[in-house]
Amino acid sequence: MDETRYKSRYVFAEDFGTGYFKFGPITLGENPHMVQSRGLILRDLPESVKLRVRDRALLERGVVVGDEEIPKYLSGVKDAARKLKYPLKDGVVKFDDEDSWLVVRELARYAFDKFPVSEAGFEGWYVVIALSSLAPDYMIRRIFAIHEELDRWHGGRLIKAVTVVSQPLAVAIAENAVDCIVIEGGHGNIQIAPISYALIREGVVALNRGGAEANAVTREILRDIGYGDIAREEYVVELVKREMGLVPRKLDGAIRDAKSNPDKYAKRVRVSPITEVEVPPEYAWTRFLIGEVVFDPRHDVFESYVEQGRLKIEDAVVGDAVLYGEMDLASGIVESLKRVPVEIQERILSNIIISGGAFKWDVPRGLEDHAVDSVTKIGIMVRDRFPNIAHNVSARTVKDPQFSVWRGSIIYGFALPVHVRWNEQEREGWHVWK
Amino acid sequence: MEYIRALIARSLEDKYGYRYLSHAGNVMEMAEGMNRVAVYIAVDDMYGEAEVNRYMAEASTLRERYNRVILAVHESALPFIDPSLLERTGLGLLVVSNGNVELKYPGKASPIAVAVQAPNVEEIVERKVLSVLERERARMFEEVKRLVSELVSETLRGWPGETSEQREAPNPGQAETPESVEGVPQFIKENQWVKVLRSRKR
Repeated sequence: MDETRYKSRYVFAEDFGTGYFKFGPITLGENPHMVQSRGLILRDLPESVKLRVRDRALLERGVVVGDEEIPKYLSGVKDAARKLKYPLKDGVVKFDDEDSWLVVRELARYAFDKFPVSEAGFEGWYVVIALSSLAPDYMIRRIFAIHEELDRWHGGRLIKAVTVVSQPLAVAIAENAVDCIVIEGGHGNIQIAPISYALIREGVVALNRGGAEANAVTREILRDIGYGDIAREEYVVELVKREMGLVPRKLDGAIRDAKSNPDKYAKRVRVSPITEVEVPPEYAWTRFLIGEVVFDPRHDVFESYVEQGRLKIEDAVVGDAVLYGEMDLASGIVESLKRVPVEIQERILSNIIISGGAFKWDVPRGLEDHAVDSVTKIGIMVRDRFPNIAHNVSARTVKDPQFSVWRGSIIYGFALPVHVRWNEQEREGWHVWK
Repeated sequence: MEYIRALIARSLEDKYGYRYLSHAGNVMEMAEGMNRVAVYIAVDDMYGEAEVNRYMAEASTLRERYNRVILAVHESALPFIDPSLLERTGLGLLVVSNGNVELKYPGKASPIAVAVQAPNVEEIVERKVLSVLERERARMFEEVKRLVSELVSETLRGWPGETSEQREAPNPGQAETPESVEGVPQFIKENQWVKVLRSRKR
């Protein structure tokens, strides 16, 4: 069968997000299946629960994944949620964390099991795996090895070839943009990835901030206004952040306005049928800190938080990449631009694509003077800091943030010719072992 | 029954990305990617335990012909459904209540047992003929395109403005293109990355 025709049925993509694992074949159209990126290690369960497992193969594999499967084994387990293993942190699996690798393998097995093929012409899937642009080489090698193992379990008829695509590149592909900068804001970090017909790896800049820092600021504000008890619950903090957080057009101006019109910014958030959080007028200005920390953490207010040990803003190393803690987003974009050839700088700057949950901020009606969305904020920051390039800047958000990586991966797998073999330096091509 | 079937089909298409294929009696056939899914519609006003078990048994018999089978019931049937039986049979469960449809459990997917599939010779022949015709149509289209292109080039040869690249334009139609292959999603056909990536060489 012709390669194009074969791939029009048998390309399979797996997007390993830190929160959710998205998967499925090309024939699904535009929406993949999705489960949480987590697993339950059977070894950690009490014997009474293990006895309930009738499936011998499952016992041998030692791990359960899938949102409909896990709850079956959690009932009656003390501290159930704590026994769940989340294998990815900032998109990376630790080298020697064998339990995490076990979950990754099981997620992949689970994905293929959802789409059994009995068609005569089927010779194996072309599998595309989307990973963070910070994923180190060892992670790719291990992912390849896992897929080889899965293929062996199926008698060598499950997988034809496998490749890896970085998530920002997949976003660019899904957005049909060949020259652009993708800014992916996750829970733990922000990746700024320049793209011109391929990912420009040396231009990738990562910031050690994201939704987690906005959560940390929210938590401190909750403590300050007398809700220290519920500030311990992560889901409450997340909910309050979403409802209360604002991104300021300019932080100083926004704080001034909120302090002189406190009632305008006062807010109540219902976190459960019986609990309501009320931000008193004198603290209403702090709502702007929640959004600002993602974009620029260098304001004096944050410094005082850091000095008191209430907030950590520092550099970090993930895999073999350095993540900057204090760098503001505009400087990050320029730092990334500096590392790409001069002749394409202008082109990619005119197409900034923003994706990820860390950039999801609402602008409440009536607060438009001082609160903005992420696209506007990034535009303002770049224009302020670098007025000479301001006229070129154009930013937009992705159309479908949740599934764009999977969709881009499917297109990548469909289009990348089979004769292009895996090259570790360029991180492109098909890994074939048969 | 018509209304329930339409409601279920519409919900599965809109909310879960399934595609309606056909129906016969109380079995509706849908596609989910390459999976062929049977929805066994057993939406009644009143249920008894024996009745629910009978529905489950009838739905289970479809397992060998479909990748997945989903039992559709009204929410009043839930107290009579034994979860362990649901797990053993691998059936999915879809619940209809007050005009809402919720896929509680998608069911276990399994390969279709080819041996027990009842062959429909007429359908197979029809599909084969259609695929041959489609291939032939695509080939003829490319051939005619090439001939017209040659004719136009011949007519224009020597006209001012013609470049050497135009004279040496490659012969199209050597390998199948995404546009000519049936079933390639539109978002792929329209994507400029396809051309970029297809030109990668090593």
